[in-house]
Amino acid sequence: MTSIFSLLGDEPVAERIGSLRELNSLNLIVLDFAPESDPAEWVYEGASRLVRHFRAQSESGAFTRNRQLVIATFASPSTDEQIVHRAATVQSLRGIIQSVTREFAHRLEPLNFVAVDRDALDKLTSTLDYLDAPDGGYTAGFTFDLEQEKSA
Amino acid sequence: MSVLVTGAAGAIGSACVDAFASHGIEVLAQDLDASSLEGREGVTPISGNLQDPGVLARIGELAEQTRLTAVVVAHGIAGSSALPDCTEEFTDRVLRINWSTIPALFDAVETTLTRNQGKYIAVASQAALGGESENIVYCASKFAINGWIQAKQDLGGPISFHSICPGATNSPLLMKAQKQFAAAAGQTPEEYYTQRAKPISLGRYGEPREMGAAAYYLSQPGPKPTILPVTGGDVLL
Repeated sequence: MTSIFSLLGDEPVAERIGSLRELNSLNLIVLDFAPESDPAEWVYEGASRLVRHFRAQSESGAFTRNRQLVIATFASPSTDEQIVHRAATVQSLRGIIQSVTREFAHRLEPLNFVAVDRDALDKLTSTLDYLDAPDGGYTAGFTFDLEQEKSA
Repeated sequence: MSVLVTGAAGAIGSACVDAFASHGIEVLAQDLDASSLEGREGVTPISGNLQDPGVLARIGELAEQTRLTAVVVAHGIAGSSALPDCTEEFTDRVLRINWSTIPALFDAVETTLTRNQGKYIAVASQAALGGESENIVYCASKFAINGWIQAKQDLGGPISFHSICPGATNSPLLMKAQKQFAAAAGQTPEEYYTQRAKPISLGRYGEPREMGAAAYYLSQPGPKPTILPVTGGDVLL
């Protein structure tokens, strides 16, 4: 049984992601950075909520039972301030994912992170397909920044 | 023409002050308590907390008065902790001090740096380049700095943005943390040092003066790396 956790922003965004496909093994942890929120607070809000969630997960032993996928969604950045704070937030969350992967080595089911624009959630489907299948697990600790890859 | 160094009473901060002062550059030296820097020629101590808007406003005024051309952000606190011990208070403190002050300080000096085509140099950490066990919140704060610096630099404009990523450095902050790590591992501090220094290509920790030299280098005109690891070869990009 997999779960969806909405840690920040609009609950419907998490629900939309959850409805993209039937999940076999992934727990989804969604952080939605809403366009009306203050970009200067994104790093703090995202990192503090994810650390709090992971701390609870570590206490319940959930890391050893389920694969975890953190998904951060952003409105398409329209200002320079949003662009730089999106980049800082993605990196900060990436740092958390890498650190948890190292700290729970050998006791951890694969853990990954995807960053995606809010208006491109349908592009998540193939990434979810890949990560929800057994052979996608060996990418543990990697960040899929779908917007960065689109522009690369 | 002046340079602002934050965390100026710390090991890396004071080494940055030394590097600029030795080149005859006026230094604005901020720390929570900058009294240890009083009386030095060419150094203006600024005592105060960067989370205080009044202190940021004062720094902004001094930046204008002294024609600030570079900032070296060298303040920060240690943040090692296993995930189960990352309380909300601890997480809040590390993120607010190590991360939130970086863009807030920039806002205070942006106008002056723009006019002077200046440099904004943040001292991040090797922990900004790869995740580390039992260092989750610290890594989150330092990764954020590198992401912000890189994005600011990519946007272009008159200000150059750079990040220094020191590896293990002989500083009181690290030595204190290392005593705890050694005790937890059942080792002496010397045994811990030997083990920790082994994967470093140069076989030793960095010295604060080497970080000061890196900050001075990045402050100089001409093309420079955006992210500069100063890790003795421990991390190669």
